[in-house]
Amino acid sequence: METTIIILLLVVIALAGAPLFAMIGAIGLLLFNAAGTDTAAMIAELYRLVDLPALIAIPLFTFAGYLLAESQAPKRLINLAQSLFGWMPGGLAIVALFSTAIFTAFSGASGVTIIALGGLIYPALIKQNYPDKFSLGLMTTSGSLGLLFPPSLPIILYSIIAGVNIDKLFLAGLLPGILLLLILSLYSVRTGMKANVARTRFVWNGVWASLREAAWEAPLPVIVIGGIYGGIFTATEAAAVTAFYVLIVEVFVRREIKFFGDLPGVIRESMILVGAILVMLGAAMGVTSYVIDAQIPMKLFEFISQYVSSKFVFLIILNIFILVMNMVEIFSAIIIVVPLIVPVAMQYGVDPVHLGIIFLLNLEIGYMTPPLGLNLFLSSLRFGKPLTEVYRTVLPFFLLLFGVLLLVTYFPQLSLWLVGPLG
Amino acid sequence: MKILRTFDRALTSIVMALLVTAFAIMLGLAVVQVFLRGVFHTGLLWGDVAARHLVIWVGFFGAYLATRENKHFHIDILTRFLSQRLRLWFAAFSDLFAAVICSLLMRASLTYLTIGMDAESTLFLGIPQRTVAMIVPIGFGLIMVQFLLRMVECIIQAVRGPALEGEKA
Repeated sequence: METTIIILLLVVIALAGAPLFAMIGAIGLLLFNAAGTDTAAMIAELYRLVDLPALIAIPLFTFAGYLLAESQAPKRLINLAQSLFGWMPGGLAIVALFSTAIFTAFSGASGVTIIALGGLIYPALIKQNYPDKFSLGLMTTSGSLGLLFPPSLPIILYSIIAGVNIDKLFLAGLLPGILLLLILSLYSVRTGMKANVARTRFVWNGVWASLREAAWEAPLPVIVIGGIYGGIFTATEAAAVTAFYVLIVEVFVRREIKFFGDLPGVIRESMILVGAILVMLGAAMGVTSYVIDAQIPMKLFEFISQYVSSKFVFLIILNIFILVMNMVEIFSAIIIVVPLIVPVAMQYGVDPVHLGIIFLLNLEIGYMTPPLGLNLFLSSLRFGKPLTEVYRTVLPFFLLLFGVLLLVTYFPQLSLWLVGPLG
Repeated sequence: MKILRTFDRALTSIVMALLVTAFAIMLGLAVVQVFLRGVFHTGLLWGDVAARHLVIWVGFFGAYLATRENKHFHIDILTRFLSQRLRLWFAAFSDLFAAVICSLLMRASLTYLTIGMDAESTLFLGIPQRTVAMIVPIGFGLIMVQFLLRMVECIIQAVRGPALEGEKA
């Protein structure tokens, strides 16, 4: 009875808009008190964060992403993509897909893509006679594309919490991410042909010019992915290299970010996101240790396995569950749900790396799932369209993404094939 | 009221300065380590430990600023549909709740530092572990103070609210 009242009370406080880290902290304090353990033990768990080698990748990659977003790099990225894909039917839509995916991977998928790139791409799509519904749906979807590509923040966070090697997870996301882009590109080509969108001619000189323009930033994905895949450095070292490289390029070479004028602001903005994630992670460390000590995942598995014996049925149910969770809030979903489901999924014989990709793809879809996905609100705000219209336009994209999710769920090889050779 | 705002601004400038400094050292250490490892196949023994601790420092300073700018993750399904004034009362309430939790976490951190940590143990360069770990209670303390400041601000605005609307009309 008492427990029910406390749970109800906490739900009410959370709905009143209390910060989630305080909610998690409150749950931890209650659990430790109930178990008769001093709450100092909770802080001991929080302090274990300093033992995680991958932790530093979070502030470094986030900083690099914010720095890139503040510079003119997004514009150069779009120009480069335009010169490469503009000649194809549906070319501009493909440009939108690729540039937003890369941008999201670097900017931490916190919704800035729609705000930053949407204003550049959406008017261009409309001007080129792409159907309004398609353009709006595409921009809403693009807000979270690229979540599967390194060095996106959700991948790093999942790897830290699930205890999975971050390098492996970076590789595992590549193929499913590319598959997703390909399928959406095909849909764009079809739409482009049906709408009879004018195409630009492919000009070698144009490609060369835009490539030279973006010469400093273009190697970045290659440095990050190639460096890790080639075993030159670890993901953590890649974070340091990326942050330093971007700092030198944007501040000293291009001088688009002023050292005294802009840099402190970029550090501030990026570390606000990092701080918000870290206090939540810190508060959750105590709760997680309690959950594991109390063998809750084991009990959860025993309960579920009474009803579900097949691995794939379990994964399908999991997909639906995560989708609903993610609509609420993405980073908290990772921090709260992952420690619970990883042990359960492993009992079903699901590889934690594969599970990570399923989880992250779910996040990607959760961002655009009506009625509460974050992208829907951002898109409605940014493009001045009513929410209900955004809901409708997003539907075909939602179905495509959901199809890819099913493929990724049923074919673990898609995620694990590249990881294999690295062992 | 003015005093509170001046205090808030002063405290925030200090935290901001500390954040930028800690971040710069963290980035510097991480880069030096990669460089030393890549070029000379060596590294500072204490470098990684120091950098990882600095992440916690940076994190707490960032969390303080997140509090000030209302950027902590929260659920706004319900509050989104409330009137401006009601929203302020809800915000004041959740700020109070968060401040109380932070104070409890700060107390727990102080206990952990005094009981859970060896007073003699040093981490690197002779710096005592307790000194480095002080950021945990200090961090929760800073966040608590900021939540209280925000709560006061929300209540004042909520009370003054109708007057403002009256002026518009």
